[in-house]
Amino acid sequence: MSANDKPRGALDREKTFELLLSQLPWRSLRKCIQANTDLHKQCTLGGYRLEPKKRKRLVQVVLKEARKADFSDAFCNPFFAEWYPIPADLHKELEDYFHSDEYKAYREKNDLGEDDYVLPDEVFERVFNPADVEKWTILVAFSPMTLTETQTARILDDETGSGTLIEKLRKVEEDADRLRSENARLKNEIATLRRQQEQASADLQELRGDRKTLQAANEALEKRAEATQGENRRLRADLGEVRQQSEQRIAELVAELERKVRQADNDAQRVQQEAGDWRSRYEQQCETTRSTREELELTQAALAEEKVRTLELEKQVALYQDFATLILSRIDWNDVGRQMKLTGDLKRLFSSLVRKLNYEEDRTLTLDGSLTHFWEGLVARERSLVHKVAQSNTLEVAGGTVEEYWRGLTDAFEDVQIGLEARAVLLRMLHEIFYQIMEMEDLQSAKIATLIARARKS
Amino acid sequence: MSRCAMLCQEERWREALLLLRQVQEKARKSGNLALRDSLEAARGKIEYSLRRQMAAALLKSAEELLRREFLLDVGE
Repeated sequence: MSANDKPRGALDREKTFELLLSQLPWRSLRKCIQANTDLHKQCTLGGYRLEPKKRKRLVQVVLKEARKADFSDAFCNPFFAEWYPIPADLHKELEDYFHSDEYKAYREKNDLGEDDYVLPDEVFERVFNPADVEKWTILVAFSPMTLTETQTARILDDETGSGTLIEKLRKVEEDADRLRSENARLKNEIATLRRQQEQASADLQELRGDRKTLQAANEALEKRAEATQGENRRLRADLGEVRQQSEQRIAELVAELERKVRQADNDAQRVQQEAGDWRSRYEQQCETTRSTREELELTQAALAEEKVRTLELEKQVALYQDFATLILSRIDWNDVGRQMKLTGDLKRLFSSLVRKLNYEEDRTLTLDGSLTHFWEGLVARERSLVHKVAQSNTLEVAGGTVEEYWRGLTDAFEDVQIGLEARAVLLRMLHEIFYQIMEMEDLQSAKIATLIARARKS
Repeated sequence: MSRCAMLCQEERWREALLLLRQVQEKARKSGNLALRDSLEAARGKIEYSLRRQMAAALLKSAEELLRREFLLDVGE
């Protein structure tokens, strides 16, 4: 009996295939869809992708295509092949058995081929577990394994199903107990959550109050923002106006500065030109000053030399005066006065002459004419007397006797002595006239008496 | 200064010197040292002209005295 011949009619292949699909992992399901070109095309029709979140749609498409193929083995076997290793315990027991020597001996004994998979009843009883009825249902529907009617009925029997249901009911009760405890736990959690909700509500209420306050503050801030924006617009307008005025003012200032700069340049050029003129004048003046200073230094040097010379002359004069005083002190002036009787008279005459002399009576007088004439006349007499005395050896015998010759020179001797004395007096007077210091009072009258008298006193 | 120059031209040296000294003193008191210094050279020249005038008059008078008193034959 083949698998298709066994009481599969009582088996809902669509429901079983849907159960198989529900137990397939996502990776296996995607692999099966990708392996079937037509199925893959139908699944991705409309731009859908093979994604886990689209599994529900993909299962519907696969069922639709399986229904078209009447759930044939050719369509369903790839899905079964992916499902078969999933129940690991069952898979291991079956595979271990079909590859065991026991099954090999059984197959030889019952003359079975290598592609025939048959479970003896004792083996079936050993591996069959009512709790795995869904897995066995899938094996009945899609595996190549051959089961006896008894075995199939065992799997699909209503009693077996009731036992299965009882087993399931027991499990459900266990699950119910577990769920009740879970429910109690969840109730506690709900109570906790309610308390948290109440706390959250209170917080929410408080937050609403805060929100109202914040909304009011926000509205106030929005109003302030609007007012600030209005102020900002007004300030921008003012700023634009001020900026325009500033630019205009800057342009005016720049023009004014340029004009002043030009004027300053002109002034600077003029000042530089004047400075150049003044500099040339200054240099010229410096040159003049330098030459004048050199002349002054030369003059001062000459003056110093003159002073030195004057001092030397004064020393010589003093020496000569001292010498003359020495000589004169040895002269017996009484005797000389007796011999030169005219000396006192001459002095008195000169004194009276000076006292009444008015030098402005005749302004035509000149010193060069009068002094030369007077002085050279007297000197000529001296020269003549000196010549006559010096040449007396010849002259005294030339025109007469010796006595007459010397008697004729008596007047000449007296004249020369008087002339010498007169010249001495005049020379002193001239000295006083030319070297004394004239005071203002000396110039009040045209008399020189007081002048000479004051000089004598000093 | 014009009056001083006029006196000099007339060889009235004493009056010219007197006037020049008065002007110099006034310049010194007013602090015009430049004027005072500039007049100094003229003062020296005028003063020695006055001295020469005095000396010439003295010599002339002395010559006449010697001649008048027959002390010396200076008329030749």
